[in-house]
Amino acid sequence: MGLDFVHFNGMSGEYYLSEIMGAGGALFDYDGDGDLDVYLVQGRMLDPEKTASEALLPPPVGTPLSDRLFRNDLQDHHELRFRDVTEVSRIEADGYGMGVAAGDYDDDGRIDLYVTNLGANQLWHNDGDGGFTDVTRVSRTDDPRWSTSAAFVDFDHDGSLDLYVTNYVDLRIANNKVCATEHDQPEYCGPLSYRPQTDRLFRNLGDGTFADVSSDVGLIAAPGPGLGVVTADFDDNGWIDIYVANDQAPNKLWMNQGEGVLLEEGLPRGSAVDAQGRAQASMGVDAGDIDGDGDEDLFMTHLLMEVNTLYENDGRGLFTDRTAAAGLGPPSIGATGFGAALLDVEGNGWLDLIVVNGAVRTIRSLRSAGDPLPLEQPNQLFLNRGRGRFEDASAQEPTLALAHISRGAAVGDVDNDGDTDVLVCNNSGPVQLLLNQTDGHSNWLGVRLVGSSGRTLLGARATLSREDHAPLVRRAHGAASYLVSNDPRVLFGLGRSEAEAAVEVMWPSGRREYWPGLAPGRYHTLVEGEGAGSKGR
Amino acid sequence: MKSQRRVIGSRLMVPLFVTTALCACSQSALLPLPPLPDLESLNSVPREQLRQRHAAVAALLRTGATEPEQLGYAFGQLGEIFHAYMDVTSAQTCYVNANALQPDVFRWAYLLGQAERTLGNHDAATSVFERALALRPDDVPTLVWLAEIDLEQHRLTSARRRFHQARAADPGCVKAYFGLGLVALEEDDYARGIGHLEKALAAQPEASPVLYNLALAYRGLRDMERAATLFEQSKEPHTPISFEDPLLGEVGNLRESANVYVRRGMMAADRGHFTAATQEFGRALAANPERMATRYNFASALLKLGRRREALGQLQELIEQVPRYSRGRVLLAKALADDGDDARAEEHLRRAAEFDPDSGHVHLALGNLLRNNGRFEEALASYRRAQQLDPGAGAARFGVSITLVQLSRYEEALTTTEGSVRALPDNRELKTVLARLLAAAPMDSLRDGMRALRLATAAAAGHHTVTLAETRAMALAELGRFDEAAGWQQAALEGARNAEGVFEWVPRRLSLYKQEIACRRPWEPGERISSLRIEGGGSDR
Repeated sequence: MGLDFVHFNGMSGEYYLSEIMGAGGALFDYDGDGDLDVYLVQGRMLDPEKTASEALLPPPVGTPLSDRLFRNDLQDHHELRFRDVTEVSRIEADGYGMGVAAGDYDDDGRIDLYVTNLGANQLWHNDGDGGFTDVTRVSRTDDPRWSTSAAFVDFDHDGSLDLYVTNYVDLRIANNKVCATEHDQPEYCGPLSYRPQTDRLFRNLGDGTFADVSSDVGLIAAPGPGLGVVTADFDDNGWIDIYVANDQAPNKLWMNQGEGVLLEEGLPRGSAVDAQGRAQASMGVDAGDIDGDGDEDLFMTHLLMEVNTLYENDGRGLFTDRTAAAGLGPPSIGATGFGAALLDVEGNGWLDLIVVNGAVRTIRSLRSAGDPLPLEQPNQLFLNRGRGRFEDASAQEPTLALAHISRGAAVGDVDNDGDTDVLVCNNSGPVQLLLNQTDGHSNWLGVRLVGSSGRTLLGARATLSREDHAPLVRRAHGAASYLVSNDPRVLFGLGRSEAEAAVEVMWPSGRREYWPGLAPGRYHTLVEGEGAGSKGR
Repeated sequence: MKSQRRVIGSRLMVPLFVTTALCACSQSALLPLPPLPDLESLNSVPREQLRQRHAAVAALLRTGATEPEQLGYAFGQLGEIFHAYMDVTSAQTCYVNANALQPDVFRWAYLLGQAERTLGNHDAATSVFERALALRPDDVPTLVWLAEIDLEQHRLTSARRRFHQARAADPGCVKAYFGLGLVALEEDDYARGIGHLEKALAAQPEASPVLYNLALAYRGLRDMERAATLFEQSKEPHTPISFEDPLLGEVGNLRESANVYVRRGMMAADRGHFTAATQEFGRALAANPERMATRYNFASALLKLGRRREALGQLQELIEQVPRYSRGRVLLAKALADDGDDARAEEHLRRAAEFDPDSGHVHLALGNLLRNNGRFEEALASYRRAQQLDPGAGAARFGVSITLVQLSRYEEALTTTEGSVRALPDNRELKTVLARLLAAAPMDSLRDGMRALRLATAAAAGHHTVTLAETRAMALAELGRFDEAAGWQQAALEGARNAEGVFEWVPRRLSLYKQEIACRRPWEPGERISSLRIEGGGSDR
C-alpha cells in the first residue's frame, strides 16, 4: 500500500523520557482531492552529538530520519495507494518529533500543519502547489518547550483558527534523570521527576500571524504535564471549551466564557481526577456523544494499574465518572493506554472505542525474553452496546493482538467507503493502517462542514435526524487522542436504515442551518450560509 | 524492525479449576517453580533474598517427599519475595502452589487474591478472596477488597452488602463508609451518599477521596456552595484514606532496595524529619551509589540539618559524577554562597549555564547571586532570561521587578510588575512588590494608595508576616492614615525584633510614620521577603 514508515525513537541508553513518548501523525487532505493523506512524525537522537548509528535500536540503513508526507492516490487511481511525496512537499521536519495538528489557519482552503517537537515547533503553510513553507518565525507560533498534542480551534469566534499547544515537562539532556525498578534496575523516569510546563494559546490575528495570549487567559499560572487535548462545547453555551489530559496531575478543563475568557474548572466539574480524588496519568483523550443524549462525554486513557476513565456529561458540562457502569474499568487495568478514539466501527450509530496501548515501564517477561525495549502491549476495541455500555471485543480483532508500543491513533475514512479506519503510530515500530471491514449492510451518511472559502469549520456541530430514530450528534474536530490529527469529516452510522436524513448544523459563528433530505451512502458538503432556516444565535 | 509477536501483557490467566483440583499430595500437580530473574543485575540485598527463598523451595522439591505444609510454606515465602519486588506473575504462581498445599491457610488465599487483583484477573480474585473469607469470616481487608472489586465491576448490590459487612466488623473503618458512599453515588442517590461520606469524613477529616466525592454529592444536590468548599479542600496534596492491610504491609516491608530507601527518605523529608531522611538516603546510596537524584536529595537534607561540610562533599562528588547535572551545581552554588564563597558559587552557576543554557532554574539562581552582590544590571539580564525560559516562574518575575526597583527604574518596575501580576494573579510576592510601588514610589504619578492598600490586603490574606505588615503600613501611610500605619509597622517591628538578619529599616519606617511622613523607598538594598510571622497587627479603618 506504500505506507512505508518505521518510527525511530533515538534510544540512547541514557533513558531520556522522550524516547518512549512519541510519536503521532495526521490524516488530512493536503491536496484537496477528496481523500485523506498521511503525515507521520519521526524521532531522532536527542543528543545532537550522537548519530543514529549509535542508537541502541538503529534504524534500517537508508531510512530517512525526518517526518514523512504520504499522498493518497485513491481518487486518481481508484485504489488505496500511498506515495511518499516528502521531497516534493519541501517539508523538512527533522526535529525531535512528537505530534501534529492540521488546520487551515489562513483560510485559503488548504490545510496547513503544526508539528510539535521536543524543542522548536514548526508551522508549515500549505502553498497549494504540493509544497509547504515553514512560516513558524513569521507567524510567531514557535514554542521551544517539549510540546505534545496541539489543536486548531477558533476559541474567540472571529472566524480564524487559533492554536492551542500542550506542553509536557522540562526535560533537557542536562537535567535528565534515570530511575530504577524495584530491583534497582535502570528505568525511565516519569513526569513527576521533572517540572511541568505551561501550555500555550496562540490567537490568530488574521494576517498570517499569531499573538501569544497564554498569559491573558491564565495558562501561565497553570502549568501541567500536558499530553492530550480535545475541544468541544461541553456546556452548550456556544463557545468551544478545551480539555487537556495531564500526566499524573489533575486534568484541566478550560471553559470558554466568550470574549476571550477561559476559566479552568476541571475539579468542580468532576473531570480533573478519578473517583478517589487522585490525579491519574492521563495520556490520550477524546470527546463525543457516547450515551446518545446529545452532549459530549469524555474518555481518556491511563497507566497500568489505573483504569481508563469515562466521564459522562450531564449536558451542562458537569461530569460524572461512569467507568464502572460502562464496563471499561477492569479490561484496562493491565494496559497502559495512549491513543484513544471514539468511532462508530459497526456503523450502527453508537460510538465505539479504540485504545492503543504500550507500556512505559519494563515488562519483565519481555525483558527476560531479550526484548531490548520491552514495552509492547496489544491494542483494544470496545463496542458500544447502547447508551454507553461497552463490551470488550478485542479478542475478535486479530489485528489488535499484534503487540507494539502504540502511541498515536488517528481515525478517518481513508478509503472513502463510509466507515472509519484507524492509523496507529507505533514507537520504534512500523505504522499500521487498520482498514474497517464492517459488513456492507450498514448504511452511512457523511458531511463536510465548511465555510465559504472551503475551509472545514472545526468545531461545527451536526445533528442528524431521521424518523423513528433518536438524533445523532457529532462535531467536526481534528484534535483528539494522542499526538494526532483526525479526519474532520463527520460520519454518521445509520445501521440498516436507507431513509433520507436531515442534518442541522450549529456553526462556530452561532448560526444554525438545516439540510433536509440528504441521501445516505455518500458524503455531502454543507457550506455555511447555504442551508435552510439560516439564523444567528 | 522488531518482529511482531503476540503478547498478553503482564497477565497470566490461571484457570481456577487448577487450584481446586490440586491435592496436597502430588508435587507433579503443582505449577512449575518460577525461574529466578537475572541475579547478577540485582543489588545484593534483593539478590540474596530471592536466592535464599528460591533455593529453599528447590531443595524441598528435589527431596520429593516433603510434607505439604513445609513445601506450601516455602512456596508462600518465595511468593512474598516475588510480590515485594513487583514480580506479581511469579508471585501468583507461588501462591497458587501454596494454596494447593495448604488450602486452610488464610495468608496464602489472601495474598493470591491480591496477586490476581493486581494482574487484573477480577473474577479469579473474587473467587479466591471468597475462599479466604470462608477461612476468616469478617476479615475487614478481605471484605473491603471484595467490595471494591464489586464496585469496579458495577455489581452494586454485592458491593453494598460487603461494605456493610466491613462496617459491622469494624465500625471505625473509613473505607467502608467511603465505599458505601461511592455505591450510592453510582446510583445517583446523593442524599444517601452524603450520609455515608459525612461519616467517613468525621472519622478522617483530611481524606482527599472523601472530600472529593462529598463535593460531587453536594453538587448532585445542587448545593454548589458546599460543593465548592469541599472541592477546594480536596485539592492536592492528596491524603489517602487510612486503611490497614497487615498482610500487604508485611509483604511491602520485605522490600529492601534503593527505591524503598529513597521513598522512605522522601517521606521523612516531606515531614521535616531530616535526620531520618539522611539515614534513608545514605542507605539508598550505599545500595546504589550512582543515583544522582538520591545524592542530590541526601545533600539537600544535610543542608537542612546544617551539616554543610558533608553536604558540600556530596555535591562535589555529584558534580564529578555528572558534570552537566545543572540542578546539582545550583544547589552546590547555594551552599557555597551561604558559606560566603560567592566567587566559587558564581563559577559553578556559569558552568551550569554552559551545560544547560535553557534552564530557567540556573539563570534564576545566577540572578539571585548577582543581585545579592549588588550587580543589578547583570542580575536583571539573568532574571529576564529565566523568565523567558519559564514564564510561569514567579521567582524570576519577582527578580526582574525587585531588581528594577533597586535600579530605581520605578516606572519600568511598575509596568513590568503589573504584567506579572496579571499573568500570575495568585502570586503573593508579586502583589507585594506592586503594592509597595503603588504606595511608596518616589514619583507622584506612579502612586495609588487605595490600590496599594487593596493589593496589600489581598496579599496578606491569611498570612501575617513582617513584610506584609510593612507593606500594608506603607499603603496606609500613603493614604495619610498614619496612626494605622504606625500600628502595623509596630507589629512588624515586634515580629522582627528577635530575628536574625538585617532589619534596620523597620524602626526607621516606624519613625517616619510617627512623624506623619510617608515612605518613599519601596524596597531597601538587602531587604528580603520575610516569612517571619507577627502577632496581632494593626487594624484598617
